Amino acid sequence: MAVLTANGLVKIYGSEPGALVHALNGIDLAIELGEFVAIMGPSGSGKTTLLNILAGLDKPSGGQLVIDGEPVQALSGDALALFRRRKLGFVFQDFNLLDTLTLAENVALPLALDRRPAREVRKLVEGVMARFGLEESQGRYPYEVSGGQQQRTAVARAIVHQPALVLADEPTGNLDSASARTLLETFATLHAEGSTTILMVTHDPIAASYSDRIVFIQDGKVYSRLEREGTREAFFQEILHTLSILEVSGVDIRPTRP
Amino acid sequence: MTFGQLVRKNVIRQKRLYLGYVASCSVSVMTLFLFMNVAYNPAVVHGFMPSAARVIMLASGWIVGLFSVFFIFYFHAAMLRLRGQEFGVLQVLGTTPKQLGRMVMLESVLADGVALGCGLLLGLLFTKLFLLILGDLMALPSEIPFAAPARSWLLTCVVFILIFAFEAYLMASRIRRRGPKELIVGKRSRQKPPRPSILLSLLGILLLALGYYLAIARSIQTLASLIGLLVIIALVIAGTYLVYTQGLVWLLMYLRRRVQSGVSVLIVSRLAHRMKDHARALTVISTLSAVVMTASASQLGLLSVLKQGEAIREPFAVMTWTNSAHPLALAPRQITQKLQAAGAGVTMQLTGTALEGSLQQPSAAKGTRSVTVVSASTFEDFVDAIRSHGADRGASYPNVPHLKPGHALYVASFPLMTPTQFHSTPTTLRVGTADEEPLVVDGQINERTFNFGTTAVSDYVLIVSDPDFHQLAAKAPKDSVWAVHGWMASDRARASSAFGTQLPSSQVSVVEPTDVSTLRLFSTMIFAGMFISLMMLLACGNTIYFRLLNNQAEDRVQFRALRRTGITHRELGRVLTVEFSVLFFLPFLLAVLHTIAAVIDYRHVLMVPGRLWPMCLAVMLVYFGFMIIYFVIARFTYPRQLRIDQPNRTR
Repeated sequence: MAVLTANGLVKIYGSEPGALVHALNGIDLAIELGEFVAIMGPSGSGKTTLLNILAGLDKPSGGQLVIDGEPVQALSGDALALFRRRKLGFVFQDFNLLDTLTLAENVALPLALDRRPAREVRKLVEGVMARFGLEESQGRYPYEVSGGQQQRTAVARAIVHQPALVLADEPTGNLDSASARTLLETFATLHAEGSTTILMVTHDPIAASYSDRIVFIQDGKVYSRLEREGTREAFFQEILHTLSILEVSGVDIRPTRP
Repeated sequence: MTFGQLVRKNVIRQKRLYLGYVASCSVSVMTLFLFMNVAYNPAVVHGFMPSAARVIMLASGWIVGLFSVFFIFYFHAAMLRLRGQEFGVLQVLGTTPKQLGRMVMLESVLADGVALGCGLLLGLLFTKLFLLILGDLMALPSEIPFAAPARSWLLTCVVFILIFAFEAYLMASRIRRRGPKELIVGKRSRQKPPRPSILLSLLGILLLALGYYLAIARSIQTLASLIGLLVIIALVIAGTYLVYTQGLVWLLMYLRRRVQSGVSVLIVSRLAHRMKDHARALTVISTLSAVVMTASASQLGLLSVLKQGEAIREPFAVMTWTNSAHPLALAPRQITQKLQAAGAGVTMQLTGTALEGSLQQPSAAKGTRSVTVVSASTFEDFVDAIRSHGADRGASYPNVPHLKPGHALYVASFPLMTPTQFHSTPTTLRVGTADEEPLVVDGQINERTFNFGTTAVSDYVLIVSDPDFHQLAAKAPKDSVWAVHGWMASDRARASSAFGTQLPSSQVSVVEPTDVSTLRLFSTMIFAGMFISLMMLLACGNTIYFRLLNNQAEDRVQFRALRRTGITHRELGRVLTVEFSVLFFLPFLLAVLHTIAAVIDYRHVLMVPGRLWPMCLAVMLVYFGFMIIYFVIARFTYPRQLRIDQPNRTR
């Protein structure tokens, strides 16, 4: 069953005929339940625009987008917010935890917004934080813990309400390699348990190698697809190979954001 | 955790952010409540103190209310802008616009509720103190009884609940309209390098110069109408804004090309990039500061000028005018006895004769002017008495030149302002019903010899030679001849209380020292002004505070990066010291310039001699002191808040 189906997504910025920017030029994408998909592409390829559209933060200029059976572009205002609240989880590059709330309260946020009963909220939050090794830090504030712990908290916040799809925007971008590895293993575990569908935008081949499938984007179009068949190490080599071909063909795919 | 709990926690944990806002709101609630409590105090309403004082209280109250609207909106908007990221995250997590709006609304209600409560409580506490000090300042015979009438509660609450409700609604709907993408991405978007325009910089200076020119050089003409005043204010505010956004940025960009070494590069480039963001806050602070300083300097300055003028306006402690038709209940001897009995210490008593006359004005100003005619020797006697009693005053009295028969001198007694009309000008004088006598007026003296206002005949004096005076007196009808008596006393306060209502004020001038009489008039205004100044000062501090918070997240990232590249704490300290000095003292400097221009203007309008500048300088120094306190607090708490050396914190 497809969790996400996108057909011919187009996004054009600007209104004057001479100065139009085609950020997306017709993207087709389908993600099945329980899949872990990575999107790679050089800077300016339209990755962030795509993610914003998938998250309902931006409207496409054309094409169809259906997530978990709902046509996203038909939604607006409160309905769109409710859709995001129940169907989506979001992990940012810079975590975006609220400084005024403790880690546990940050995780509880999506449930509190949905007005779930307090007892249920507490049970779910404790469960998910224990799973991520955060039970010791529940009462601490974001600025009191490491970047790795902050990002794991952000992932906990993204999955606590069991969304249909988790969107991650360069989730390892601000982490050191050890924390990045822990985080990616968390994603891999979530994926292995089969319950969570993850879409991750990244420029990091190591991060991408944890996924099932990679979609390469260039100039707002799908340029190439790569599916994992063997071990992660073998997949990593394949990614490097694909990237080197892209580079030979003149595409710069170096890190876009430090 | 429920939604309501979330909202509560948010406000409580953002208390640092809310503190300034709530404090400012509380002080304005307090000030309005205070003024209303005094204005509607039953004792005050029923004429316990001059009705003018009550009007001043009411007017001050409404100024506070009006000003509150302005800064409550400004501060709340600034506060919400700081929380863009938070609102963006909440929206991404699925907070509906309605929920977000309700959250902002609830937060406002909470914060404003606390401010209203605190303000009313503080107002209640200070009302008692206010009434005590006011009673003392105005030398009221007994204490004003404490009261917090229902009307003042009602008015204060209604005014602020209206302001708060409107403000909360507006902010909530404003936040609701913004999308999550702008809120999150907004802070990431790069700042464009500043491009100051030399033309606009010059225009800014030109506007300021024009404003100053109108205020200083064309003071009276410009201020003749309210529009003139508004034009000056608008010119100065626009000029100030342009100087900040254009002139200063231009200067910084110029320095950037010159300065190549050390931390200075960092300082200059940071300031150049931020000046445009700072400009609005700096303009607000400059304007507020200028208003506070000008108002204080002019009020306190007027008081000091009047005090300085006291001895000039009222050279004699007691002065009486009598003639056959206007006798007094007390003979001069009895007055002396009364003064001695009251312990006033009579040091001199003078007597003279004066005639009631009317002088033909020179043709330029048609008609006649009634004058008090005295002989040269009488005038000299009085001048001698003043000289021997006011050491610093005596020197400025000109010697009366010897008058030939048929010649006279014209005296426009201070503070009357009359252009010199007579230069050996032939004219005529009529005393009583007698015939007109031709005479030549040699010149004019602008000093006062007889007490102000009560001169029974006229404040304009004509000095004639002794022989001429005797001839005029002989021809004059009886009721045109006056006897004038003056008493010098060492203790004017006691002299003023020696007579009850026994003597009519039309003929007798009993001088009350300025400390009592003028303070009664001005104390209310000065005291109310002090509270308003305090409120504005707090508003200034708050404006800077929000400016600093706005940069905090960005500074944290930048300073951490700089620490990694090896900048020392001392160097970072220098960066902050210079930047904070610009934020705190640059607006002060401009405000000082504005104030100087305004006080010069005021000096022209006042038309009373006396020194205004010492008081003006004192006001500026006090204000500067407040700015230094703000500066020190901000400068030393800011690095701590940045937590530069805690590497965990990333945002």
